[in-house]
Amino acid sequence: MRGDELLDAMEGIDKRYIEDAAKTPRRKRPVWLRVTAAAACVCLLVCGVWQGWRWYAFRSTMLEGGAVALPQEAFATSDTYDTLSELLEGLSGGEEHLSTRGDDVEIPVKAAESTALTEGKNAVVYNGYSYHLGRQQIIISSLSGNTPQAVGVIDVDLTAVSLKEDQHAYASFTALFLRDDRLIAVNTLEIEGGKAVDRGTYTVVTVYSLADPATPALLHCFVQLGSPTHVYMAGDTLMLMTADGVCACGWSRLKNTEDYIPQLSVDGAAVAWGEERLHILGTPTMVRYLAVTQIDTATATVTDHHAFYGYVTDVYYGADWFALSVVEDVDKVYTFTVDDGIQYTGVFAMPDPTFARTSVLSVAKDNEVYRVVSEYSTGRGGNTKTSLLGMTANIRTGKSYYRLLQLEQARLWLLPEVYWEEDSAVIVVEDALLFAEFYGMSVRLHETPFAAETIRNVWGSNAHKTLIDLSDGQYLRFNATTDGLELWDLSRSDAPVTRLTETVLSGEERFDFYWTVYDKHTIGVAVAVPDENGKHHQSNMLWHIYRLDRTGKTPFELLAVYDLKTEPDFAVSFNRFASFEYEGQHYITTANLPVPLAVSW
Amino acid sequence: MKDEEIVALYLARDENAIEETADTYGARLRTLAFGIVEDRQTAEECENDTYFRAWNAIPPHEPYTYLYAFLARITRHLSLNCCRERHQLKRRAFVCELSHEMEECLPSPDDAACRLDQEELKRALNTFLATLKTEKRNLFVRRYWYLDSIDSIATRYGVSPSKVKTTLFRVREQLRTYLQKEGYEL
Repeated sequence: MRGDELLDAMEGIDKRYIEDAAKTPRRKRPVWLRVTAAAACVCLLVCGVWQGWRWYAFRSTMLEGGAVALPQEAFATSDTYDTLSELLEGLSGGEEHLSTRGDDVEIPVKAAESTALTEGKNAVVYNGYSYHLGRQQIIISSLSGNTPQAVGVIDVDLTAVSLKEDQHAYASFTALFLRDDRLIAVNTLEIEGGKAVDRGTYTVVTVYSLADPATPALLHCFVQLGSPTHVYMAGDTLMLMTADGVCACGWSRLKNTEDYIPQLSVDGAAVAWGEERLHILGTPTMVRYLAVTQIDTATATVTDHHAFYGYVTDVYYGADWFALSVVEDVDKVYTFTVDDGIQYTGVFAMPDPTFARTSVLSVAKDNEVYRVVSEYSTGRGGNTKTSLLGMTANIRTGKSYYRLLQLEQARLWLLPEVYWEEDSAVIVVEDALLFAEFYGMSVRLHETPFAAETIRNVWGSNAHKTLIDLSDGQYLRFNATTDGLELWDLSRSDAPVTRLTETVLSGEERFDFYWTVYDKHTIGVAVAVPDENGKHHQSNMLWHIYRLDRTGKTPFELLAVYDLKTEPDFAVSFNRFASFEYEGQHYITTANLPVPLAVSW
Repeated sequence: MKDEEIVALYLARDENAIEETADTYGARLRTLAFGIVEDRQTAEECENDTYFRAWNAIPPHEPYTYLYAFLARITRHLSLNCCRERHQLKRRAFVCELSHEMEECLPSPDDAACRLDQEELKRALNTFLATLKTEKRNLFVRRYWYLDSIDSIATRYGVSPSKVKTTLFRVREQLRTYLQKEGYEL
């Protein structure tokens, strides 16, 4: 083919042309923008010297960020595949093989703070009754009277999905919501046995009427194929996100194209997923997708549903938006609003892909501006240089900017914790505390010598959040041995301070990462107690309540101790932990407790 | 490390040359390969093969002042071959699209008997590219050497996709006229 020959002949062009085209071009700004920028600077100087200088100083040292593409048409996202059929055809010669449905498809979610969001809980209270998650049940208790009384249970439904002869199902509840007089429960249903392609995980959402709170009545059942990525509510709307993957390689292609499409049913009736609801992001090398369904829990209807095929690594969300971080040749973040169905609002790319690798840590949103903190690395092996990247992307104007902070010691890839405050992100990593402060489209980054050690609980896990937010920039943090607490004042990002450090526990007792902030001065924390051989069992746990006195001689005064010890061999006493208040009385629940435990001090 | 120093390592048969090359140009080569093969694993293989070939090619080559172009050329060649050998439909579709575009530059209909003299063609291409202004040449090279998509070229240079398409169309027309004049018509 002669066109190919010409394409090959291009290989021999002069090296100068190759080098020239490799250079990052300097883009001209339109004249009107330059004039407008100059006028804006003058106005800012007149109106407020300090604010104006600060804005200009940030703005002038920030770098232009990755491309922002605004939607030209609904969900125009991939320049390689237009449809699922094209994707399947493209993968037909591929070698990436998934042995079973859903293999390796776990997509973490990270929520930006929002009071308009309702996260799933392990316990809710309605009209004098509590409903808390047990092992495979929802435990109903009456809270009237002096002592909680067991009333009944709701068993998880193992028949929500039809099973084949040689299959069996395992189920467990994962979250509860309360909306008006409706109890909404989420559980997973894992199908095992039978052929590999017939196994899988489903996410089930059941809605109960609490007209008679002692005996909730099942109203509706939604079943979606896929592991639960996240479920949350904003008002009456429940957002159900599930992830699944299906092998599409040359060896184990499934015959039926519908096997590559999400499945959703409402009260047993299947909901269709037309081509217009299937979107390809980037250039995936296997079939893995995130299915997002909006459910109006008041009317029990599906208001919108879409599936996104691609290498989605994280989901970020707020009350009226969500964003998907997708790994492509340039990592990208696809953005959506959800207040009028699921609407695609554009995509922005991480900056300077030719020279660096990025890994998005978290995304938040302020009006039309997305705020991103990410790892940014150049070099390889021992010469790797890691930076913190702070970036803003405006999906209305199509502009994005970023700033880098090269880190000397910090290792961002070691389980960073990100805490969003109103206009800043606090990033806790091993050996450092990093701040990203956002101001309009500008961002300021700094690293403090405020060392944050990696903290593991007594069973070696470090997968928990370690900062207890007391508000106003005050945080409690466990010390490295988890037998003490520190009070951090992070209200000034340029001068974080440790106000208190105290060893609180005695002997071999150790804190675990479950807590409740009752008020600014009172907290409850889980404590693991060793046996006579010095071993900690997850079935031997206490609940300690402390008063925090920042100026007193005893900063952490122990007010009360509750023993949650259960059967000696039963593990994970704080599984499904919840803390709630009803008519001035505080309670805690776990999966092991038959009724809520009333606590007071 | 500067290009001259890296090339000196190759010539001295010091294996640190590979590591220094990877440190300096690895990400760019990987990105170039990925743009063609669109598979991370394959792109990394092409990158590694590039180092192997560079090791065998230096000496006799001594790309002191054009090391990146030297390496990128190898990577492009390997990636295109990889793409064709593995019959990746989606990438073949893209390569076919580019081939069709390039065919527009050729004055004669496709004929298996008419093999273009590759060396002559390369010389003609270089002479033609020298006549172009930098901006147009860069667009052309990004499209037909780096195999960038229209959208990514538009984003890179801060222009609209339609401007990119129009510019490329006009350059292809100019190339066609030039090749005709140079006797590539049969």
